[in-house]
Amino acid sequence: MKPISASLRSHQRGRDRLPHVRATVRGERWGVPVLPWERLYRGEEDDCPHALTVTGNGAVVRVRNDGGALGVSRVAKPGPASAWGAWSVLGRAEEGTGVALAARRNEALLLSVASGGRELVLRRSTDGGATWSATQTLVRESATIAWVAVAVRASDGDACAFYTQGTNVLKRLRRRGGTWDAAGVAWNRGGGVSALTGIAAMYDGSDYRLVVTGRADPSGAKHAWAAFLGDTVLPENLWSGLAVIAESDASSGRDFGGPAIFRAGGSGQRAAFAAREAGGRPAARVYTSYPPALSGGNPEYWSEPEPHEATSAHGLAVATADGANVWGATPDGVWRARRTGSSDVSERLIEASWQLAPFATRARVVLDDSDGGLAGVAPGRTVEVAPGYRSGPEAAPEYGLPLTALVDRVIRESGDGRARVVLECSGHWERLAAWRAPQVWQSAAGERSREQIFWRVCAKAGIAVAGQGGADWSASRPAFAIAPGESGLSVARRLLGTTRVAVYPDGDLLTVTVPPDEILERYGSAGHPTHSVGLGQGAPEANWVRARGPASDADAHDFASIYRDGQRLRLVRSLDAGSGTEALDDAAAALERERRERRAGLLVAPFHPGQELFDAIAVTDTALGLDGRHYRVVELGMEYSRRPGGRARYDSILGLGEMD
Amino acid sequence: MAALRGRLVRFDGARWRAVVRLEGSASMELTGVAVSRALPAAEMVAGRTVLVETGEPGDPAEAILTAVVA
Repeated sequence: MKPISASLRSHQRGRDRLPHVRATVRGERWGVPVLPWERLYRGEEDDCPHALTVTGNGAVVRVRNDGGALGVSRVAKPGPASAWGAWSVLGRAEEGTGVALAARRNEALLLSVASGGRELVLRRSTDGGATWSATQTLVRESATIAWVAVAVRASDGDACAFYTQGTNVLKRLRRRGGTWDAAGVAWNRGGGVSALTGIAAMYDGSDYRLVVTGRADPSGAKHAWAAFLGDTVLPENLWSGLAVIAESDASSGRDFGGPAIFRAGGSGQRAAFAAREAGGRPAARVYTSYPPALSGGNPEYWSEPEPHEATSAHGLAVATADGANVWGATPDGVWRARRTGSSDVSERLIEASWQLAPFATRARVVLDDSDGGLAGVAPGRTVEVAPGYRSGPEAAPEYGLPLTALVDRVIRESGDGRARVVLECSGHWERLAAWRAPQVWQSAAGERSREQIFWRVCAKAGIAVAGQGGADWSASRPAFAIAPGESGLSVARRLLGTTRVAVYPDGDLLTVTVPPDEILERYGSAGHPTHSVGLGQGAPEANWVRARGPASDADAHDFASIYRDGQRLRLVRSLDAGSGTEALDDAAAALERERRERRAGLLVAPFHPGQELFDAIAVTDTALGLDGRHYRVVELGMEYSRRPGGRARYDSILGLGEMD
Repeated sequence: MAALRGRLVRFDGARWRAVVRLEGSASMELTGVAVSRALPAAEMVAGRTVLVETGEPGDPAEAILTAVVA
């Protein structure tokens, strides 16, 4: 049950209810901004190491190392008609080595490796990249430098340069108060790395965030990793571990390089990198990835890398100055993603409805578009519906459980002389069903818990998870594998099958819980009022569950149903039951899940803003002989209608599951 | 039950286990795959096409290499 205010709780039970539903449309997916990339430039430039920044005056500055010629391009007023193909040579760099750019206000820093490969050199601009200083050698190393990155702390202009040497050395070089350190300091993560193929850095307002590409040691597997260097919130100069964004095994033909890291507005970090395929067509493809919303620290889980149009082996350089426009570039291409904000469409709302079930979410929103103001609403966006009542002081609206869903279809229709926009939406489970594993993934017995695997799979679909389960969730560590092409929903069902946890949508998140048996709400006879109650009896899909474990099998039964309906056996796999007792527990949990997901009745009531899926409730209905009978909410619906000429409606529809 | 096609990467004759690169998974191998004892070790040549059965629950963690087909 979602906690709601006393005034809202009292109001929803009263006779003179004042419904209020807030509806917003956001350019996000589960709290992460959607970036609709559009290509502004397509050229014939050769591929080479490159970088990009946006200065305080809005200029897009690019640099490239074209066979040792250090080229720079500055577009003062970037747009589709800009002269993106105009480059000027700034000097020389060691052929094949990386370049880096960063900007704060109108100061821009350009790092490159001087000819000879041993010197990290800086060029500086104080006019937004219009002119550049002579080179300044920051460090001279005894070993060659390959890849470079630089990030600036926006608050005071301190900065940090990063560069790689040899197989596994990554060094930092800080600028404090305008003065650069005399020597670079190596990281302490080199022991787990056997090759470094790229580096990118940004300052996130607190610490330095990096994406590093290379090979792991001793496995030889290729990776794009996320890491951070502590600065203010995290201890200064603390190196995090390496979190995997993308991976390919040692003998595959795929490796990673050309990383980039950026923030789209005030939201969390995003990574871009090139996946290079020996013999592939194209030979390289840029992918982007992000951790789910609200991921703190060094996120362990990232979304499934998503292909981008860019095909540079050196990746997509990405930068943003204002969060509204994100710029991306390769030597032969420029892209822009213009973010769309949030718009409140509550005043347009004609109808809203949703249905939540254990593995399904559907929603439908009908909006008035008589003024044509919804022309920009498109699939892929988030719609949030927050139903409530005007129960606060001076009839201020108060809300309960909001529903967040993704717009699958936008239907534009007219009737009665009015234009309407219908949004057909789905939720987290449908998103998980749409995610398909692009490669095999496996976890050895004892390596990861069901909980950890579930979090990982949800993150692949861009969904964050909260909440906790019991030991059958967090301590069960079966051998587990995901086949190429398997859906996230299939994986989730396999993970959840023999556990007692329930998972329900909670805003942008999925929340895990062990549903309590405590009665959280009473319906009927002075509890929350009801419109109607219906009960049904039917045969379950399964009344006998056999858990087949590695050691032994075990059965759980619903004898009343077996006697009445005949046996309906379902076999489940008990992946890590080491004893008959554990297998029996798995069988009982699977049978309980079977019952929990089966609807035995339907209750319609004035809308209850705090009611959540899997809550335990008590129902009283004299005509049906129910006196505080306990049920679990196994389906949860909402219907709101203010269609002109139609019947006004504002109801909760509860699917009742047996508890006793 | 699903049969997945793949290419044999390695065969461990001591543990009678295989590493298989499944079709559709060019970048990651499936390791520790149990191999049918009916298959002669001489046929377990890297690069050959194999069939992997995932078992009734469809769980590739319990996959068995059942055939070498090319």
